[in-house]
Amino acid sequence: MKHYFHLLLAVLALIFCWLVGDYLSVFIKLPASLLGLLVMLSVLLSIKRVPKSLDVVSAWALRSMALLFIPVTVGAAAYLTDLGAWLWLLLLAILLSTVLSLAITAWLAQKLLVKSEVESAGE
Amino acid sequence: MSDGLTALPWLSEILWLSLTLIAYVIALKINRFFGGRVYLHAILLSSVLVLAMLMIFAHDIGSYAQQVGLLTWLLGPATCALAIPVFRNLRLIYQAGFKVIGVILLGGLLGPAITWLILYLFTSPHWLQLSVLTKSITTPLAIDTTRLIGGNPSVAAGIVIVTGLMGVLVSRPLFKLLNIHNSSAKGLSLGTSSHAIGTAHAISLGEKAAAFATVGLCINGIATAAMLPLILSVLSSAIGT
Repeated sequence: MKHYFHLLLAVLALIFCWLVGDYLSVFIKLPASLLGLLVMLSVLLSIKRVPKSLDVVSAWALRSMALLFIPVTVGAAAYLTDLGAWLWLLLLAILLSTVLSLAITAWLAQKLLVKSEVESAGE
Repeated sequence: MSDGLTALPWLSEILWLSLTLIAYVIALKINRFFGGRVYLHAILLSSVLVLAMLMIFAHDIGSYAQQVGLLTWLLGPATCALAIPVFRNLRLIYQAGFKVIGVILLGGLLGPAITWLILYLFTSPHWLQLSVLTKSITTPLAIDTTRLIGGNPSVAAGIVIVTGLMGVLVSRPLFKLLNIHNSSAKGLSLGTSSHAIGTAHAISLGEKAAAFATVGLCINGIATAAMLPLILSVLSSAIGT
């Protein structure tokens, strides 16, 4: 019983951080969810640890977040006709940019990390 | 059906929430059955299932989105949960040093910049150009940021998911081609350019890859969500006045 109470508190803590972020977004022109994330991060930095129940709840929330995207992704289908011929250019642009950014990040990171870690190659 | 239930709005809300949940569970089962293949990603499958149900019941997407508004609302609190992996990996971020953070920021800048440039050169609609700028960051931050800068959040979410799937699909041949054998580097690039979908894939590459992917996802997500509204408001005020 106490366990569930703690889990409920953790859920409320996440909602509370988001509400604070939402309130702050009136004054600071940043996304509300980013501000909420930063509020939660500053709380964690000040208590210097992650409470067990918060850890459980957040791991669960992050794992099943895909469920929360469904309405928005379904909503995207409504714009497929608006996109029309642009869809193919868009897909091509996404593919090209993703390959390039992936390649450059991986290549640079490997150069830096191998030097600093002196790690055995082919881990 | 949509007409029959208009008298009981909460009933159709519960109905569509349950149908969405069922679609999600089925999608997860199918994905697991096929060994977690990327192109059978749960988000993709469940969205297709929901779309099929909407078509069968002749229910329009707009009222569906309204009825399952609870799910979209919950994205806000769920995003705050990202603070926990950020906190956990602070030491790793600190140890990795400024150069690695620089690599993440460069990768996070290149992805959207190249996409935007291509769309700009082909003079695509303005709203579309504004909706690709968050392509490399995690969906909840992308939705919020795109709404703030005046793009289309739904289209942005679709673009984010396509980016994630493409990144994972091309990563294996690309790493082989470039001779990337360091698993931290693999994880870092996957998290930076393919956000949560890339990070989920990096988990299968080992613990180190997973940790660096989380670092890439978090730093790029925070940096893009923080910088994009600022840059665009400066640009628009510079052009506007």
